[in-house]
Amino acid sequence: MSLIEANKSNFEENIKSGLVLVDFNADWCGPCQIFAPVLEELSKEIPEKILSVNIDDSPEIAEKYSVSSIPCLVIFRDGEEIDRSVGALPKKKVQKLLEKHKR
Amino acid sequence: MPQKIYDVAIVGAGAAGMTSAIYALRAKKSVILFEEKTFGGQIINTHKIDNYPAAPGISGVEFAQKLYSQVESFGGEFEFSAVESIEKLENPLKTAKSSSKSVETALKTARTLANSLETTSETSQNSANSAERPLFSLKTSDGDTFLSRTVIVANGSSERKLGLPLEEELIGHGISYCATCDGNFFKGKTVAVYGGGNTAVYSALYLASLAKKVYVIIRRDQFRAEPHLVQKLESLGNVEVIKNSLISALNSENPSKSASKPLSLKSITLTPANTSGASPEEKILPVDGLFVLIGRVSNNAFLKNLLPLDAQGYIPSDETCKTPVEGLFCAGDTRKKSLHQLVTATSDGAIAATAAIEYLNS
Ligand SMILES: Cc1cc2nc3c(=O)[nH]c(=O)nc-3n(C[C@H](O)[C@H](O)[C@H](O)COP(=O)(O)OP(=O)(O)OC[C@H]3O[C@@H](n4cnc5c(N)ncnc54)[C@H](O)[C@@H]3O)c2cc1C
Repeated sequence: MSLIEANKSNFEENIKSGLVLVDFNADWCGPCQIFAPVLEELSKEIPEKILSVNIDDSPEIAEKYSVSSIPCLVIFRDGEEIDRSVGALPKKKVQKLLEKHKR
Repeated sequence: MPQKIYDVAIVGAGAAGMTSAIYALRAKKSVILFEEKTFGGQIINTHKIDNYPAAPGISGVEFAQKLYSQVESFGGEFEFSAVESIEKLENPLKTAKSSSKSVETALKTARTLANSLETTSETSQNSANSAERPLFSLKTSDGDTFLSRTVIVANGSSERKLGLPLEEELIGHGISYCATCDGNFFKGKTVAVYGGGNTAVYSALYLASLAKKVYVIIRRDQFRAEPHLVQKLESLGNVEVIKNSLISALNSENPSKSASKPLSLKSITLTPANTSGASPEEKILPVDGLFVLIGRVSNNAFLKNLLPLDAQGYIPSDETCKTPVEGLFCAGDTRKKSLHQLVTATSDGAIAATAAIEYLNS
């Protein structure tokens, strides 16, 4: 897999089934720039989808999920939010977070 | 498997910690850096650094990334978890001599040393003496323990909070400690900035370019910030300064209306700062966001059994970056000093690492 740029035209479609990680970010956010390459790398190693949502390009998605501090990683299962974490994380921590929800 | 003993363990991968890593690695010491969040520290939220020598206008992120790559290129190891405690293990020879020390600690250290005979990294050229020196055991939030001959504490500082009820719940839902991080969420809205120092005024100037209205609340009747910044602030049409005032309460949207939605900030309550009267007159100020910029606090609570700290919790070391604990050094904002900046953090980093290298080689 690789990181998928998501916006309102493909977001719902992409979170519909299975475990999906969504990274809410923006160009002006420092920690987001540090987090992005971590997710890019991870996306090549795991079967789960990772979406990247720029909140300035897709404010309606950020609003819908009450994202008010970024970077914000939201985990969806079959379209439902099951967990979230605010702030940039090292790869190991993202993997741990994901492990928690695998079954 | 025998546990590896590092030459230098660095707590915090900010400007100070990463600089000390470069110095220690170049002296062929084995280095591990612990970082609780992401590498880079405080500076990653600054869009433009104008006062770091020879790198005018560099962004905080670029500064951090370059420094990180530099550490990696010299072979620095990163462990992304928080150090929760540091224990000094006396060496077994010394401990055996002093009967007052617990036998248990002595045994523990002896076992550790016996276990790790092979571990002195091939690259290290530590003195023979170092085998008799104390070791430090660092425990992380992941529950792992690491051993090192020296420690450099470079854990920076954190934002000072208000200490008011609801504050924690409202972080990210109206309350912020960083204008450049969260300012964009308040485009066209009404915000308040609390604080009168440079950081607060810079933040207010930045927010004034985004928000509809910015209140700046200060406790005194004067700003601590530089006059030219204050002048600029006062010239802006959408900024209103409220002096001699304290924030005494945070008021949220009625949570019972929708239990599933998080609380959000609705207004703040202001009280006069110098109340001589019996019942101070309170004022409710409706705001969408509050930026709390009232200074910083040390992160050293976990060290108080190991080290003397000053009243504010900073490490009272001079520019040699040594501490009263042999083998333990400090660098950056965590050290008590008059100027907390990148250039002094990197300077400390270099000095602390050099002191650690000297100690290891002596
Ligand atoms: C908004 C703002 C703007 C600034 N602008 C400038 C500027 O323009 N120019 C300038 O020179 N300076 C500026 N500064 C100051 C500068 O950022 C600091 O002086 C400098 O970052 C200090 O570096 P440090 O490495 O000592 O600490 P920090 O940058 O605070 O790094 C410490 C690191 O340690 C980590 N840590 C803490 N505790 C633990 C633990 N127990 N275990 C593991 N990790 C831990 C933290 O997560 C952090 O990453 C600014 C600061 C702020 C807040």
